[in-house]
Amino acid sequence: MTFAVILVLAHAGHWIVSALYLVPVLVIVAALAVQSRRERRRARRRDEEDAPGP
Amino acid sequence: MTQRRAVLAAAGGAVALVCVAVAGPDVASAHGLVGRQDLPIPRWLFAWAAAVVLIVSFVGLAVLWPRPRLEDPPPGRRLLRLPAEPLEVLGGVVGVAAFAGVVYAGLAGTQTATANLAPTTIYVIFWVGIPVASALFGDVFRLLNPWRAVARAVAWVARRGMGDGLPEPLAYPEWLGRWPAAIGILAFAWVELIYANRDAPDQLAVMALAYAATQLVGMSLFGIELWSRRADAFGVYFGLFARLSPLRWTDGRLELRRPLSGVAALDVVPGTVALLCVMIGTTSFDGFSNGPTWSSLAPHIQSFFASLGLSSEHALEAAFTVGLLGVVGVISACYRLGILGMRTVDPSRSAGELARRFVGSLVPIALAYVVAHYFSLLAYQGQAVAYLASDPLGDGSNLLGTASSTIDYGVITSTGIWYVQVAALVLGHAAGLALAHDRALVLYRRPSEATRSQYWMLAVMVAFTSLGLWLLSAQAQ
Repeated sequence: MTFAVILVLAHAGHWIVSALYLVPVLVIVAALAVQSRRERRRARRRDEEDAPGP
Repeated sequence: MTQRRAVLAAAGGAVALVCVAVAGPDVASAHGLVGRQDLPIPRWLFAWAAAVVLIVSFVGLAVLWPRPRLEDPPPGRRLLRLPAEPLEVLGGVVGVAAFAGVVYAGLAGTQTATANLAPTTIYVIFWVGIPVASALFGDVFRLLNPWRAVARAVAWVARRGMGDGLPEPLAYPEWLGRWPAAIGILAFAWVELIYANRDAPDQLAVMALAYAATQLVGMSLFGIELWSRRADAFGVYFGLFARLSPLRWTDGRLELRRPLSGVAALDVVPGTVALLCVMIGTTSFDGFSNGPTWSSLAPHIQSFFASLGLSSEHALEAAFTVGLLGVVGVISACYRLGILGMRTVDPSRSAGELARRFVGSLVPIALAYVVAHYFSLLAYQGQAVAYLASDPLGDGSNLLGTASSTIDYGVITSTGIWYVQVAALVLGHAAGLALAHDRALVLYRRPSEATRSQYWMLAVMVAFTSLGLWLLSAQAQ
């Protein structure tokens, strides 16, 4: 376990630079997820308002 | 599985796959010849800048492009008119002569790949040069296509001999669509990237003859033009790139049309989505297969196939085949993810229908990958044709007086190559966004709905751009 952690950290210079290429994708996917959640919430609120009262 | 779950599962899968790919150090390209570069910013920052350019393009399209412009463009402006038949005959003669020359060189010439005309002509001029020429000048391959020329010549002779007695061609099965082309391109990529004897000139010549014979049989059964448009792998492949060109050749007329309108008019038959995914996936695998991530994975897969009884060479080929299919699968999954995301806006259309409707947006991306990945090969190794044409058999002859010419590696700097690659990727993906946006405007009533449907497509474009730049960055290390 310790060896694996040391190995990962020792090669951090490699994979961190590679991972930087992923950042724009992750940012956009996160923004999309937030947007979708907001839209769902808005739609639910609209449905609740439109629903006939008791 | 609900639609939302499907989207999340696909998103998770795609991110995981990209993470696995990115977790290793940068990869080197199989075909890139790159020296030291002098860049003002780190390469990963180019990926970020490219993403920003795509987002700005997306916003620009949403604001400035409120109506479809590509679906029903104005008629093209005629630039030139030439007699169609003599032009076809001349193009066919040139194509058949070039094909015969390459096959003869492969069979009769030296079997040293670098000294024989066949490998360089097939892998550099044919595979890389014609896509670039098609995107610039229109469907040049259709004019030069040697098997189409032979088939037309045979049909002409048969018509003169038998008159109306010639049987009608069989009906081409609708379900077959462009599947033969997709399989053909995958097979060629397999030979280029995996086959152990891929550089052997005589084997390339035999494969070229076998391919031409298959095409002639197909054309004789189903008709020359229909077979060329649907099943001739190279005819379809180059024809797709030609749709990007503002120039269009038709019946001897050269017309200037609205850029990208040719792609918007693409008839989407079965197999078209698969073909585009194969085109992008095979180019991606070419870069990926030379990196340490694949180098560490491949021996394990090879051992597995060796344990099944395959020889070391065939086990390696099998391992690479798995990798090739895997990368094509990743590209298909990324596209599918964008489509599933689009369904959250319009659940009334099936994922299959949306995938077919928006597949045109992958055509400029496929070209961008070809240019970005093979530009240095074309710029440098393409020059070898000067001396190989003069000494096609590698026997010391000097037919054109250029046998002593050499490759000038100073024709473009490494930094220049990097900028061309980045520009190709950004322009290709921006063109893909424009095509998808235009199609969305046709499908959805309100522009805001069309824009909303394209959020996920934007994510796909940014993912493809980042992947392309990541694959390229290594060869510049």
